[in-house]
Amino acid sequence: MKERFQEVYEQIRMPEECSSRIEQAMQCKRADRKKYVTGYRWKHGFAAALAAAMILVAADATVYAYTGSGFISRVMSWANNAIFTEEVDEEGNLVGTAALDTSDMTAPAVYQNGHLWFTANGENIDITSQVSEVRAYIYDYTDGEGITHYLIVGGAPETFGYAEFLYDATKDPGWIGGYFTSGKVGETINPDWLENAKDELGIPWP
Amino acid sequence: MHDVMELFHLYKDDVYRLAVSYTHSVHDAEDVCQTVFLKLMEQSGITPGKEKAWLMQVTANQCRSLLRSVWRKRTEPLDEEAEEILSEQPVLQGIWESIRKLKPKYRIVVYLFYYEGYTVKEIADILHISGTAVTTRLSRARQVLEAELREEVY
Repeated sequence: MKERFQEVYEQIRMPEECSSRIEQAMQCKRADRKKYVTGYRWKHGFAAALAAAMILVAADATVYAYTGSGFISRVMSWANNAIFTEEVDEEGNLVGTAALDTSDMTAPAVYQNGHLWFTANGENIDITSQVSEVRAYIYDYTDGEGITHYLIVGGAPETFGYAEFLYDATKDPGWIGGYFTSGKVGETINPDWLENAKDELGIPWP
Repeated sequence: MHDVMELFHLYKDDVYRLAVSYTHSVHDAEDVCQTVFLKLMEQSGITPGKEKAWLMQVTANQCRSLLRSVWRKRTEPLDEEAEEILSEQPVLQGIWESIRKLKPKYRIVVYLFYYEGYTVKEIADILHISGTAVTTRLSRARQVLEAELREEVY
């Protein structure tokens, strides 16, 4: 029986077309490491079990970060057009984010003529002197659903990175999600400016 | 440690086989494979020599998520003919069709045990289930396959 099964399985090989497509996707991803996003997932009632998933994305890619089965309960739009979708499982528990769509992602800041301009949410502020490798500019606003968005921009102005974290005061834990995008090739996912900002705000994720 | 592209060429057939065995859909298997190898690129902490085990585990998780997903439940997967996957050998196609009739949770243990040669404990680790569950699933799969294949294999 074992031999026959092995004969059957041995015939199953990845089609050349599929192999080429995946190889191409991997090469594209390798070539575009300058931008990456960290999506933070959460599980209702298990603050200590928070998990972080680093997702490398091409600049124009759509990334879906599946975290399990469930029903979509809410779609949250972020300041830079990224979208997180929450799920609840069949027992009604919030289980995490279903999708992180970065296809329309835009940075909340722009570097022009030696100046770094914070441009998100209708604001246009020169933050050049307020950011460095260890210091971030933090902007917050509360949306129509009562969720506070913290936009964090840091690093050297010409290679700045940014992050956004959401806080819902009606939930426990209140921090409900976040992402980080780097502007530097090969940068750690925990640059000092981001770590310092997270400490200042009390953001719990590593 | 191997370069990620080397790992892809080394293990692409293993990952694909596992995904086809679990999902029984070449289209789903291709999607799963792409996701798995892109995830591999994000990993830096895999113990050298454990890359295949990591790939098997992530592939199994990905297949499980796919089969449980709301989208998948709401859409009817296309039935793929055995000929699309196997060569024109009626006996082998018959075996494949019999395996195909098993529930996914049985198919996967059959594949890992009979083809990959993993032990019960190793399968339990890959699938995050107990050794007893692996043994039970193997036993039930054997019963079903025995009935299906009695004339061809036994």
